[in-house]
Amino acid sequence: MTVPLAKPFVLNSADLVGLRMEFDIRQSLAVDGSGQITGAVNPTFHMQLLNAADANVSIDDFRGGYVGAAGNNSFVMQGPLGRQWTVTANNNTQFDTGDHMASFTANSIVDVSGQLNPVTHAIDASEISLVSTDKFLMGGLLTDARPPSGAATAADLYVRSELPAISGINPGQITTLTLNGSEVYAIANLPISLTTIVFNNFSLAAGQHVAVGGVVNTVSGVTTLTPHRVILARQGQAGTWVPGSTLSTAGNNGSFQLTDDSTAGVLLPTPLTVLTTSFTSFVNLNGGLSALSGTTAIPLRVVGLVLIDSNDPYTHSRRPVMVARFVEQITP
Amino acid sequence: MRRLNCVQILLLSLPLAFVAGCGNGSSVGSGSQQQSASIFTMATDASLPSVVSCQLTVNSVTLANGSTNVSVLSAPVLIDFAKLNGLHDLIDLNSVPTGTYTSATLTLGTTASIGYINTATVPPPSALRPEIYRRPS
Repeated sequence: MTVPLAKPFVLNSADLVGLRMEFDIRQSLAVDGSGQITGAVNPTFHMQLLNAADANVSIDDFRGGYVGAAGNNSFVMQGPLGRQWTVTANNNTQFDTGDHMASFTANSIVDVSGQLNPVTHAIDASEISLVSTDKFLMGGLLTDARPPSGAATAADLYVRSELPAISGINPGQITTLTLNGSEVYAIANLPISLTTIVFNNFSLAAGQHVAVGGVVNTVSGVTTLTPHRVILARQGQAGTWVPGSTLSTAGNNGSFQLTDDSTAGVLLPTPLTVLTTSFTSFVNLNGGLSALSGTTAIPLRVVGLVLIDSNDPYTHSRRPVMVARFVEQITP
Repeated sequence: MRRLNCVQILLLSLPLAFVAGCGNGSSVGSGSQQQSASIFTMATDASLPSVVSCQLTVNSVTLANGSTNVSVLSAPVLIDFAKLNGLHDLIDLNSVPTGTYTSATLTLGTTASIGYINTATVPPPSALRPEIYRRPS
């Protein structure tokens, strides 16, 4: 079915425009009175053509294999559909895992955030992370880490993606990772050198979105992944602000609680503690953290990192919290 | 116990409708030579509580400029929209003729694979250990 655009979009010679294709899962999947999926699907997309510089078509966590250098500050990576993309770094580019281009090899898989350059069509990278050194990467949600305290020796991963696709472990399955502490732990999208202190095999938790690089082995028909790198990645959580929960120490530094009933929400504490900082962007919330006030629940989407807080400000106990990069008020 | 469920759902009416919006509206390139611009395709989602995966195959995306339909996807691609949750996934980049684009068409594969957590059941007292259920299409 073809639908007219609400307003004609004009493309001039040499323009670069992004087509934003949003699949509205909320509108598309029918649920019953208790919120359970019924199986009925009425696909609904929202499509927009936007200037390449628009934040709504910025590139998040674009993953692909490293192909080779393309100059002092550039390299080529291979993404979906076999397409190769040039990635360009500048003085502002953050190498989140501490690995720089000189260390990339043909076995490297990288994670890039940034924007497409309207002239060169290269990705001007704001962040680059080396997520695998073994030419294989699996991404998904942790559903369990064992034992419950101390260093994890095993973790279950709900697989959402593989690069490249392999047989034996498929998206939609849960695979168990065996851990021995020799793995490299790092955080994508958090450009500080101390990330191994806050994310390591002592701080794995159900509900965390991770990318795991390693070697795939198949023995007697059973395929397993030997992890070498475990990279914590940002994720989105949707829910409602808990009235009266906002705590502010200075400006946007503080916290609030989210009744988190979305995606990983059932794996994480409810309500979920959200920590905000001066680096947190508030969207549709004039006044930032202080806009979260009143007596009515506010629907929110929060994008950030799930980390273990040794002293949750509400429970004063050790539990997973989300460190927010974006807090957006959404239309329910 | 809360469980992760995975179902495959037949999409009955394809291609499908979408709600469309657009951006600027400056002058139109109107030279006699064939000139081109570029469009990159970006996927994102609006999430639904408890859905942990929602895989759809996007077979084609075309834009119409009044005289022709222009493809902006060079090959079918499988996308798990649920993992995005507001983040943007770069899919493709294609050259297109200049002009005024007025409509678009999206076609999907015939099935969708939906993974979700059954929140109607009682969670275990200890750490969640979900199970996968896959219903054949």
